[in-house]
Amino acid sequence: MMRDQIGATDISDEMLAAYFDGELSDADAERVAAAIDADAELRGEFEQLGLLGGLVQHGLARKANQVPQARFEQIWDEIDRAIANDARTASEPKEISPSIWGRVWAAFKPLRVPAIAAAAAAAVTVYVVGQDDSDPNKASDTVVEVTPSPSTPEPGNDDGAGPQPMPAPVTKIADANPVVVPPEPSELAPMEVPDASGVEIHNIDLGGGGGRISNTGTVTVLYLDEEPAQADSERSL
Amino acid sequence: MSYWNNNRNKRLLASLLAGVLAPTVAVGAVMATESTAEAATKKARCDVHAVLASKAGEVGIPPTLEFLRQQLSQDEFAVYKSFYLVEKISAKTTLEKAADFKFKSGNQLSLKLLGDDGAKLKLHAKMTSRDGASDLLNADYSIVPKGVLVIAGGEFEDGGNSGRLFFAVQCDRAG
Amino acid sequence: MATTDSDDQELVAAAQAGDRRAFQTLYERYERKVYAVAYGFLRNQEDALDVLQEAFIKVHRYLPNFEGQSSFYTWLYRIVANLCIDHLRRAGRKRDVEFDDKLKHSEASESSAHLPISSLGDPAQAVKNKEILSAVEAALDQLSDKHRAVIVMRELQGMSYADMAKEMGCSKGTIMSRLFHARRNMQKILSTRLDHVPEEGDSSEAGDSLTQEAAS
Repeated sequence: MMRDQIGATDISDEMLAAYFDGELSDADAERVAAAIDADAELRGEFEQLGLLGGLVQHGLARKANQVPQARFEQIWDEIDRAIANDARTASEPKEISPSIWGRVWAAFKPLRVPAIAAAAAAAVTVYVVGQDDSDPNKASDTVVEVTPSPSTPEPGNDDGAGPQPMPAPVTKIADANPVVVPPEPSELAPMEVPDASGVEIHNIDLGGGGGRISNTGTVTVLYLDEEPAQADSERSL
Repeated sequence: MSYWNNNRNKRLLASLLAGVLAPTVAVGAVMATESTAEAATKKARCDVHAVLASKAGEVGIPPTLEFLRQQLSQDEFAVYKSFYLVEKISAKTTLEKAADFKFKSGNQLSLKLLGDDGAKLKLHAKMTSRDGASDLLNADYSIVPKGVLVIAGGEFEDGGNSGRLFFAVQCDRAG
Repeated sequence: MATTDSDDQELVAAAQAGDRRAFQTLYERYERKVYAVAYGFLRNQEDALDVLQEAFIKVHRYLPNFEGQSSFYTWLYRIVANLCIDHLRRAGRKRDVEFDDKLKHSEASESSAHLPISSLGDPAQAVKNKEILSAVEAALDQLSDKHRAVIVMRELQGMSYADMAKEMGCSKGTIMSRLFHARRNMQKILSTRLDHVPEEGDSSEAGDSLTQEAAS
């Protein structure tokens, strides 16, 4: 819907606003600037835009200034906790490192001999009990498994320009906060894919730039655009 | 008078019965609801395989991706000659909490179980751009347990190979 | 405190190297600005504080991926805008009707509206007038979410039409038109509210009633 022209000029409201927002080409901007100089009504409209912007900025800044500093400090504490939690999660595998054992070893330095004797006794006990009550389901508590590299042989492509062998893909549990449950050893194998997935999309929003959905019946692929072009469809709020 | 008495007695009896039966019915209903709720899926395990599809080379489908052969052999992927498993991430989601998957590429996927109609799991998927500044995907979808939904991301380079990144998402009931 | 992009870049580099104090300084530098933006979108203190928290956690998580192609605050504001739009969209599922901005802007946009500039006096003073700012608050409350979003993205975040279009998933033309309608609505609401605003200090009663209205 185009706007009415303002005053005696051919400058529309939207064009004036685009000029105010610095969105016009140099040529158009010059034309609007000249029209503003020449037309009082247009100048008034232009000032309205400036005033409105200033009012919104000050109105919201005033609102922000009404929040006590303690609230922002409280929020920082929450952020700090989340950051610490992230760091802990990220370094978890590293924590099971020789340094910990080194520290434990050092702490027990005066007790090494009796500790080793006790450990040996415990090991013997566990072995004996284990012999009596062996349970194949008592699998080791593997949390993270690094799967072997997909060492697919390069079929006769010796020109040196072929693809590089991939580094070992890593199987890991999600490292985010939610319900991260260590997978059972059986869960480390891929799931057996059924013949038809029967994907039904109920609601979809493909970000700002869009993308597309492809459904061949056997496989449904959602193509996302990382650097989206201008979209015509609107992302609903 | 006897008619009135008779009616009154009937009403008395009915209200007594109602008084006795109502809690029983209510308790029964609550128990039935609880048992139904218990039977419903509350947790799902999800696996996401990040797959690099390259137009170069003749690697084809490696053993680690053999389980996806049917999908990767579709015309949809005909342009790619080599597939590489970049990483596999597993996590569990519940009706209350989403599972987040952070990938080497920087993309982050969040999957949340929304329900289970007996045949299909209903999930919400959200994927963010590599810099986290925008959402690339927000979708609610239903899928049979273990079924594959493929999300195609952007260009990626890993271990000297470059191509397009695909995320094969599978979820199964886990309680 | 005046800040520059280069100051930010130094802090970002330090934070990327693991300096948590540098990250805290970035937070302190932007906490109120981010809050103002989030409040502009969401109109609720607790929701705005939630977004502030979520935004900085997200910024920290993605900090290793930030290569400085845009300035830090541009990146930060994009994240904030995205979180706010997400928040509104989630809420929108529960109250779809209120999110159809056609219901709200059509009438107001048809007639032109002007702020009573002459009665507001000096614009530099007007932006400090409590009654006027309360009226601005109330006017923002009355706008649809989409109109408020474009006003905040443009006036507070200084986003370009292209960035706003990307954020809202629509064309630049739609943004241009929506921003026009949003401003026109805002002018109309404000001009109605400010018709009888007394000069600062004339009457405290009028100011109180406007403040109450804004808070309700």
